[in-house]
Amino acid sequence: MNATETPLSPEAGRPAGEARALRRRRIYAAIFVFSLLLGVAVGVSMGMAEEGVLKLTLESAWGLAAAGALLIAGFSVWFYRWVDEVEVQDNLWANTVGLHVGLVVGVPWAFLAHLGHAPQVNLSILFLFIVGSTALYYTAVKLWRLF
Amino acid sequence: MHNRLRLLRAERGWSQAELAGRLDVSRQAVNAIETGKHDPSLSLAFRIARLFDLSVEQVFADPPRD
Repeated sequence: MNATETPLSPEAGRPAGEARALRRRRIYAAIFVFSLLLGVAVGVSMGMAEEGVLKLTLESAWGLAAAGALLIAGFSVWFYRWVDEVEVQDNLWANTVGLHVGLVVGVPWAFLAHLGHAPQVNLSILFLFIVGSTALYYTAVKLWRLF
Repeated sequence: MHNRLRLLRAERGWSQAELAGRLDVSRQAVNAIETGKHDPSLSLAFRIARLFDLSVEQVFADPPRD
């Protein structure tokens, strides 16, 4: 094998890297579909629990929360191990922007609230700022790379 | 950082997707490197150079500073 050749995957007859990329896309699609179904299941369960149709014990609620946390953490580990350096860089920058926006908004807000000059910090609004700025930066950098 | 990746790829008649497959990165990564919107890591730079049977310096060049 010379320097311009790369190993071929035996089943597809294509460069191994390309086969790996294809497998990665398939796994990503499967995780996306699974997450959507899980989200619907959780939403329906929560609705049923609120209506009193479904009785959630404290243990089962904690179990569900732990399972959700593990799934999210597992996906994050998988994602950062499998994606290439450009994707890692874009994600890390977006996360950094989100974190800093959270600090810039959250810390002064909490300070003012402590002094009685502002309402108590609303975690939902703070979360929205963090996720929104992360998504905004990520979208902007992808568009910049595209054009 | 300047690079000759697009030229080298064109010489071999490879698409961005094909080169991406050979380097085990996304097509987006190849495009970002070719357009100068991403400077590859040292490890990826060596992989690129090895793929074209060249040295890193023959593929990448640091632009002169003012």
